[in-house]
Amino acid sequence: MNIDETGIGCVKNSSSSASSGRNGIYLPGIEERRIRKWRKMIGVGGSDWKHYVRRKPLVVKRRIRKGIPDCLRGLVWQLISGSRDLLLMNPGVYEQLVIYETSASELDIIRDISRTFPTHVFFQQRHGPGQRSLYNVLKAYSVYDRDVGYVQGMGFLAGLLLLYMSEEDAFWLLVALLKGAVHSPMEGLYQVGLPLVQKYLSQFEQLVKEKFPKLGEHFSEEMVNPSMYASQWFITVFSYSFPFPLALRIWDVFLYEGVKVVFQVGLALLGYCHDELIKLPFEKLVPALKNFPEDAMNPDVLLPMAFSIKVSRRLLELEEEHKKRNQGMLQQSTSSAKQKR
Amino acid sequence: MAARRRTLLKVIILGDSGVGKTSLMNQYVHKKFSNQYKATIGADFFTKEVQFEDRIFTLQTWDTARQERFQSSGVAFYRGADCCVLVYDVNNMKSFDNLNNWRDQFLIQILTISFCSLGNKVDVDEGESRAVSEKKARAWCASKGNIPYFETSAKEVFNVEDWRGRRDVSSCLWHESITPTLLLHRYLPDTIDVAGGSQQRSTGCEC
Repeated sequence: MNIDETGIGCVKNSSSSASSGRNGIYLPGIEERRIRKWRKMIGVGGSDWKHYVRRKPLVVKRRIRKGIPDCLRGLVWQLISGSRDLLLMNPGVYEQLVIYETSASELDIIRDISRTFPTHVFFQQRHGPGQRSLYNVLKAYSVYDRDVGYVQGMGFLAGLLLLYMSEEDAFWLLVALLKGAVHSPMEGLYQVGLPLVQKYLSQFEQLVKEKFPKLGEHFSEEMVNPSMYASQWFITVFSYSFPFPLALRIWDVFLYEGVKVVFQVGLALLGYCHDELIKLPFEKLVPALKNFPEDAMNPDVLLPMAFSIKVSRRLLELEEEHKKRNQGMLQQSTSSAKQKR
Repeated sequence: MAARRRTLLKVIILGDSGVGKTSLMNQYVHKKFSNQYKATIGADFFTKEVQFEDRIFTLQTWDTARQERFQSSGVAFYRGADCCVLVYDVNNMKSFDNLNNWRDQFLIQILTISFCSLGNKVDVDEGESRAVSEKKARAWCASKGNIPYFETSAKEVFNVEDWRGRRDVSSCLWHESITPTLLLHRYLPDTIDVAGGSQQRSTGCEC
């Protein structure tokens, strides 16, 4: 996997060398115009953003789906996730968490630091700036919410953010996601019993059956369920094992539209490989669901497919069903978790 | 044909996070070692065919994320397991102490099972940083019903007999560690073919 390339303008696929990835090489005119449009939309330091979004939400949505220009990505992510507001409301808090507090998770975090994007230049160097920032953000979060603490998977979220923003900004974006500044909170992905992972997987399984009945049936026959392949899609929002150009484009949409896009992309992947997958026996099926072919990883192919799959309403209905089914169990697990505290 | 006498064995690999489970699996299945593994999120799956006597066995191995928070989700993968490989890091006492928990947690779910235990990372600092002695590990294994025990290094796999008399993971250890399970199956009918509805075979060699 390689470096901070962006996918915009240079959809040349993942195998380009580490230091390429500068934008605007291809079709510079169009790219420049795009960036100008975006700058106008954002205003100086983000001053016009909220106004613009309120006036033209559909334009914003469309432009984000086409990909945020790489040079503006860090800023726009902070604006659309609501993390910028959190940062402004909490001056000095991050520093306090990093410098003065100690965390029970420190050893766990250290153990995983070198195992987070280990091939990426930014994180490769032992005790280098990348690893140090990653450690600080994760430690700060584990202190900020001691109940959740540090859980494997968070490092991939934080790591991806750190490629585009400072430690403090990345921290508040993590807070915005897990605590739900704009969309529903994600912390359930990391709480005891992983309740949100369970919910997403059960919704996903049902959607597969409905959108791709034959494949759904094949999965049942081979006894393959989403916990075998899709947990990491949800836990790390595709940042764990997907090529960066694709992961970044998914994150653009994810931060603006919410977790729905994770379902859509997952379904699009299955749809794209449908005819292959349906032929495979268990031993080949599971690995195939973890290593999709390179042509499926092209954001300009996969994302339009993903957006064409409608899931919003069904997701809500399935959420209700899941809630009803699990109400008793959930109550039990939360009450026992509270006792533990 | 020997290939037609195939049996599936489901193997679960357990142990603390960071003891080298993914490395061991990759060494065993792909004969590769890398310093650049990511922490396992969710579950990894490996499959390998091994021949034992006249039969081909397909080993299906599940390697699941092992941080405490993920443990409840790993339990679903235990179902139907034939063999459980317990791994600890010989340089990390806590990972050895936790073998008890891993074994117990597994036994709650699964009744009949064969275990084996691997002490990994014996190559680190030429053994200088070792925290768990071989004797101690063997004593524990003996006390738990003679669990077969092997010392390994997923990293140092070359020179099979060279490395202080220890043998390498891929050619020897795993084979031997799974042998007890294989032996169990020697006297069982082919489990796969039964599901496919084919008739019981004659005992004669089909080669």
